[in-house]
Amino acid sequence: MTTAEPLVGTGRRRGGLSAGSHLLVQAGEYVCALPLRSVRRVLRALTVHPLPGATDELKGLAEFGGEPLPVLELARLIGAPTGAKPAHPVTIVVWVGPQDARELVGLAADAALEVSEVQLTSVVAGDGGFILGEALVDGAVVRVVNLEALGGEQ
Amino acid sequence: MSPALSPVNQRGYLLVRRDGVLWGVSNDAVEGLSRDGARFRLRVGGAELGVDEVVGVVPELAVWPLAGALRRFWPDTAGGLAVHAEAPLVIVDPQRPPHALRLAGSEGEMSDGEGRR
Repeated sequence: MTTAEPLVGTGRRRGGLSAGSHLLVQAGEYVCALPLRSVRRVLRALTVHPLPGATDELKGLAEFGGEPLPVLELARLIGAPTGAKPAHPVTIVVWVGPQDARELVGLAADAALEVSEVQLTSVVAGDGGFILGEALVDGAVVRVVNLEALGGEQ
Repeated sequence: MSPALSPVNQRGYLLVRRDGVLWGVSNDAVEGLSRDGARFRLRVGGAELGVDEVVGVVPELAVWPLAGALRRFWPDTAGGLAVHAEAPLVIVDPQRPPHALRLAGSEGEMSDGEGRR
């Protein structure tokens, strides 16, 4: 089993979790925000077994806690331009889909950055895909990922 | 996985590998297994499947249903997912053998052994 990757820097989080608590991750040239309540684990990149015929978004299957885990390429999901080769890539295990039918998937990302507050009221609506919208965090644009939209078949 | 995606323990699987991917076929569904040069030929659900390696047989696997997020990005057919020796594997649905394992020209129709369908 892979060991947990500590999050880097949690200084901007004030007083515990809230609906606005998000994990910021690097995916290509984008910084993305994942709702912290949907994040189960952050791991060093899991070994992934590609599936023949899969679309580019699906990296393949991995093993997590004795269970099979589909691993998706976060940068591909959100159309992020490719960045530099990551030094410490991670797999973020998250719940996706609606609350009553949620399922676990792994998101392959370049790095886990920090936990930060994203004011959901300040999110500028996205294109209706997997990006809920964009928000400013410390003056930088982050893409808020819509994990509910990832569950189930299209 | 989620409470909605619980595994079912099922017995007796043949484990095979093709192009680095591990697959499991229920023993009951294997209609034939033969050598084909350096590879192997499997007959499942009336379809001829080709595999690189026969890994072995396991007495039992916990089989999880395919997650919706996986089906969204992987159009092939499967009966579920499992893990063996810390490696994930795909369970073959004998009613709908996967295209990824099929030999060229095998579309799953039953033949009478002389090429007639």
